[in-house]
Amino acid sequence: MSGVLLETVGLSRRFAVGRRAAGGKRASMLHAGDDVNLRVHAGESVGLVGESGCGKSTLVRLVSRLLDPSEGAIVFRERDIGAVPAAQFAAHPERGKIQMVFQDPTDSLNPRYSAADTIAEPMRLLRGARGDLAIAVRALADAVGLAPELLARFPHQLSGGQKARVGIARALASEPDLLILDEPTSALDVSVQAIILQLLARLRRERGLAYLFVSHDLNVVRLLCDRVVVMYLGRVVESGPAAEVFAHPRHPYTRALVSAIPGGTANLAGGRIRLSGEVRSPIDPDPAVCRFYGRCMQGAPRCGAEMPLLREPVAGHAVACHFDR
Amino acid sequence: MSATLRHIRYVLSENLVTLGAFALFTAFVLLAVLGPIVAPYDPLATDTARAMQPPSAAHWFGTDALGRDILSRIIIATRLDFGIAVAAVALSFVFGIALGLAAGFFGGWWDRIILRLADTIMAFPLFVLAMGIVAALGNSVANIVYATAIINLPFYIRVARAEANVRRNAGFVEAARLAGNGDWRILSHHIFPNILPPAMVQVSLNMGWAILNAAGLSFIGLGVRPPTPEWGIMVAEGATYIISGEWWVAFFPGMVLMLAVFCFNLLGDGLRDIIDPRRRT
Repeated sequence: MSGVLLETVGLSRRFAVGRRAAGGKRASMLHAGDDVNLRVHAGESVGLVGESGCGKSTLVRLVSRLLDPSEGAIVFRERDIGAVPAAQFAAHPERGKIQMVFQDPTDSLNPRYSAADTIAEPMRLLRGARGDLAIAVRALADAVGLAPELLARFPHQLSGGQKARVGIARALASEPDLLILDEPTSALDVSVQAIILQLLARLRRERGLAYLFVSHDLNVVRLLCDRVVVMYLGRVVESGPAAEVFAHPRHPYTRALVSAIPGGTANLAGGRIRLSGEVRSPIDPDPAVCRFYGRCMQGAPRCGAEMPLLREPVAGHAVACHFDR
Repeated sequence: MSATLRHIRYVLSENLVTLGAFALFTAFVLLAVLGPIVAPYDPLATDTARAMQPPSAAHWFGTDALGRDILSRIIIATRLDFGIAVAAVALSFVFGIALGLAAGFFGGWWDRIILRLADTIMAFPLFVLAMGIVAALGNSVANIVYATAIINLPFYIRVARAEANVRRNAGFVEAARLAGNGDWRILSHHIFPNILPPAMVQVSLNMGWAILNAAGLSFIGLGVRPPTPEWGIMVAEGATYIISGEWWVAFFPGMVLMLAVFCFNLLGDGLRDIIDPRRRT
């Protein structure tokens, strides 16, 4: 594992919600990402986990430069790419080096493009390839296990797994260093999921790619990822080596997550943890209250008065909790 | 290319109504192109000795008050009526789709200004607006085309805006950004081809409407002037004779007008099936 490929520093994104109140009062802000510091090394696979609405997708869109951050920097290969507006990033020299595989393979393919058109487009636009790309497209299709006779087909003529392969081939077409995978298998049949995951693992091995892997499925993250980052309501609550985090989760939220893995309770003392209480609102959250307070089984008055910061009690394993032993 | 042809053949063989509409459309286009060759008589030649003859073997659709052959006049008029409709619809398609795409895709001020423009046009009774435009700009075929184009503009703006707005945040548009597409390429390569099917249906429906509009303007004496053969004028000329029993003078041009509008309306569905790739199997 060599140098740092991607680093986000204090990355935040807020969305205005509702109407601006009369009298010049600022509109309410939904905090989708708050002060996120994330690091991906070259060739490393980092898993991003957390429940729905915790800001994973926002973070992924910020890093893939589809969305502009409210605050903070995104440093990719020692260049601050966060300052380039998303609308202009298509022409940026690093565009081809960060690519993404989308969650929904159907929605993410242009219905009027054949599979070959879809795969060839980034080659033309991002690598300046000219002329007939049939050979290059065929080679890439072969690498993702897409039969050459399917290349002339349109998305509605392909199965879910085939569409997922087209999406992966498109993401690889510009020869990226970092591949962002936004729940790449969640829209697929269970039987196809495993095949696509094996394909992703093989492609990473063969091409030395770094992955930022977003998933609900903790078992998948444990198998595929070197490190794991746990998010809760827009903030990182724990990060560390995958094996370490799954074996010895330090944050109460991570402990609850890990205890909920089917067949995974044996690893953990205390058995399955059931969370009660309501998720706090992400709209204008109190900066002095822990985001997990109210649902946390360890919650104490201090959690309602002071936001716990991310500390690193063990080198490489960070956690944001007052009660970390 | 051969796949496209095969698909067209498939759609036509599946749907006999569409096939009929296409046949009718082809007949009209042939008449428009070959009119002067096909027409049995000179459409302008008057002969008072043959005035007001009912349909016969020599004059299938009869003759009018000046003894002109109605069939020949109808055939010659096809080129003018279709020309006006095609030019007007092409103009409103190009400008309406471009404005609608900008409104739906960029949003914000673009959206507000363009939508208000469309609303302003829609606020008038459209035929009265067309009359006003022709009256103000002057009585010419070009001005009928402009007037018809302007009153059709809002329909294209609305179709393109609604479709672009839905697709602006579609996954494939985000994916296109990642593949290195800038705004203009996303609009032209990714969004525009996907709004073609609904836009083509609009074109087809509009065509019939544009023909009616041009004929209507001529009927009330705006635009095309006699003795030029034009369906609207011919209906207007014949209308005075219906009471006295000479029904054929207004009936045949009116019938052809109805057939043309009917043909374009039927064509709409067929066109959508041909253009939308999701119907391909």
